[in-house]
Amino acid sequence: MGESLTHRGGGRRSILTGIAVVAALAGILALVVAFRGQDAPPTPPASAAGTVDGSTPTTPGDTTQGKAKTSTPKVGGATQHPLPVSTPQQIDIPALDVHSSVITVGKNPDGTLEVPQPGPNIDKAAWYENSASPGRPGPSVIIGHVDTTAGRSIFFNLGDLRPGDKVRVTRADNTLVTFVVDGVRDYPQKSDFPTQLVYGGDLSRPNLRLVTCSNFDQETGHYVGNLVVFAHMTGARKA
Amino acid sequence: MKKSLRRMLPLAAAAVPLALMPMATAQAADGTQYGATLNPLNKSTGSGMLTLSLSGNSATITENVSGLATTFSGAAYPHVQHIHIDGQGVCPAPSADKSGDGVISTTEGAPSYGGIGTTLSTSGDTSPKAGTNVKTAPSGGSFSYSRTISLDSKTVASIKAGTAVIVVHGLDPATLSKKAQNEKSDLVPSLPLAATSPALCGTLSSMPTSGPATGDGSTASNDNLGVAGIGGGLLALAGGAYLLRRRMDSREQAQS
Repeated sequence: MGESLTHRGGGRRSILTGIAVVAALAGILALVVAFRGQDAPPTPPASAAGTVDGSTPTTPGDTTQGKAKTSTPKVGGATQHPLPVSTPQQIDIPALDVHSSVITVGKNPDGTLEVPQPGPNIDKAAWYENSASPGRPGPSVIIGHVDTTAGRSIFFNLGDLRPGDKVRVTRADNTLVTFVVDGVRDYPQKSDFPTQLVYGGDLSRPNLRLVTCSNFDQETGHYVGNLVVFAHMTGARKA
Repeated sequence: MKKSLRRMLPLAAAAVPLALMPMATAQAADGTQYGATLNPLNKSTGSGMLTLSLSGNSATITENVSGLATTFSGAAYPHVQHIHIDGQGVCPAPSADKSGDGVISTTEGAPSYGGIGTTLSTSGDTSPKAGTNVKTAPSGGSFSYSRTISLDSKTVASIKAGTAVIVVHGLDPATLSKKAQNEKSDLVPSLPLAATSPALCGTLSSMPTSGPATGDGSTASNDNLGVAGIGGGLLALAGGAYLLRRRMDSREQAQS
């Protein structure tokens, strides 16, 4: 070892200097990237939970199942005609500066909801095809990623919505439907997810549910919860 | 130097798998909640949504319908409704109108949605036999329906197979073609065709299980700790190389 050091010491020294400089620069870069990328999505406070279809949440999470309001049947009187069937094309949430086209998704073979896949649609909002057309009675369900491998996605800031905020959905028939937020709720575990309230609930009026992921579990590397925004329709007009 | 390098490399290597975490996967199915959005057939202007919670053979059904024909012969319009089974599990396309009268009759729709498995009556019998009993049908242009009933095994099997279809019957005769207005019902000849023809239809599908997997974790995750780990490892490597260089310098000084 000592022998080679004397003979080849100069070459080794410059190699070591090179390693030191390159490694130091790369290391600093990696640290900058790591800490700049560290921004967790917002979680709504309990005060944002609101009243959704007559239900207020219990803690932790909300396991209350939605109950349909029993409205008095309008028999023989003037009947209100709901909007015709039409798929959503665009969603705008002014409070979050969210503007996205809307794709349509179904269910995966395992019964879970399909989500936008890597590619051109990854950061788009997606409407569940078996939910109501926006503006027709019952819940219309629109989902979006909170983040992707590339960072923040379309519904990253969904937890910043508050009751009273507006969500606008434009349909293929050029009708713009306005919804107002009733509640923003976080369900920390997938098992807390209020399936009946999200996909059912009050069937008598046009509702909207916006869903994204929440509660990242560092151990499994997965989000284990969902954040849901509940809203109801306040008006519709030609876009 | 080699020793210290070897000590550092595993640190950087261990950080890599953290950065390659897969997409979140949802949890196991419970599969007992079903829903159907009821869309118009035969130029009906109505709308509806139905949810069904299945526990064994007990089904709790909640339904809301609006915009249908309101009156029939001066009384509230009875809208018989059923869970149709053993068909293709879909609502009929306009081409199902074989007679060309502009109306898909209940019979013409049968290849798509099958026959009656369960009658969604307001009281009493829920078997196919009650299928055309207007006395136990919900009525009026808009109604809310809520009932817990026992289903037969064929209906349960069809629901689980995804081939159960909710059909609500009863059209406003004024919306039918002249020809169709004069036709008799294919089911109950004493009634006009409009009375028993389908107005709303929707396939009963299981609600998606658990919440959707809508995140990768790139923003919330300590994946960044992985990257940070690599960064730290590289800085340690730099330090190691620098120290080794200094040691070489001092050894050379000692030798000379």
